[in-house]
Amino acid sequence: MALDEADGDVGRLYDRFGAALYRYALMILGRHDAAEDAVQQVFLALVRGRDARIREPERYLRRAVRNACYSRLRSAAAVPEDDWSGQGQPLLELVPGLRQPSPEDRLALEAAIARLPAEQREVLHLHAFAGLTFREVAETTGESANTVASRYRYALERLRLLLTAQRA
Amino acid sequence: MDDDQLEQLLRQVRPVGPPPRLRARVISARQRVPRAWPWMSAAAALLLLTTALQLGSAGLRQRLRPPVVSASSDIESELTLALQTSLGLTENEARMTAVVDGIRFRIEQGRTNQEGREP
Repeated sequence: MALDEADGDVGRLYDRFGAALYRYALMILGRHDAAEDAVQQVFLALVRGRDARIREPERYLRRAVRNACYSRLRSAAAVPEDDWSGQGQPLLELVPGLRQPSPEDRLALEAAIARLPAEQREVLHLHAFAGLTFREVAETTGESANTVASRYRYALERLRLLLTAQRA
Repeated sequence: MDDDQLEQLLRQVRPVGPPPRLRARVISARQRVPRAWPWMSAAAALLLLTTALQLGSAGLRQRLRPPVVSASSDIESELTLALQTSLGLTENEARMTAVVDGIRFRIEQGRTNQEGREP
């Protein structure tokens, strides 16, 4: 697709993909302010015309957000990976319409996810929360589907151990 | 906790969504972005105009330049022929005389122009 000069294009793109991109950034960075900055940075680059022609906006924006997040993690003003704390704000919310876990379970899960490395949180998000297949996750991360699947299994195993330890 | 329980728990939650202000931030940032293209087109237009003026003035200079070479060679040819017929000179002698005469004429013309410019 090509962005034209109408302001509405960015608004429409944000309305379609903004929430998913923000959730993705939040899972990698663990901070609301950093996730906001990363998403805004991606849309700003889009309107500045550097990336005006996009064939598959969803895939493109996802990769752009990923790059923005990891570049933030690597930069001098990096968000420490162990600072996946939300800074006092919740990082997980309940999915409407489903049986709701207890507040303790939600908090325990959030604390366990905070102990995962960024790459495992990313794969966990893309597969478990965003519903992407391992192949689609692999296209986003630039790795093989097998690597992604292994990373997901490691993440689940670690979560399971952490949650079991917390309950014990 | 087993894997099924864990995956069920994961299905019941998701990361928190963006605050409403983020949309406004994105849209307002889009409106603040200065457009680069008017400057680029202005620069391109200026470049085109300069090139066109340059080419135009070069063409004009070319057209206005007195055809010294051809005129003088015509005159020299006529003079050569006249010297041959009137003085009985060979062609080479007549041509040499005509060339010398042409040089003398240009020197005199140059002096006249210089005197005309002096106050």
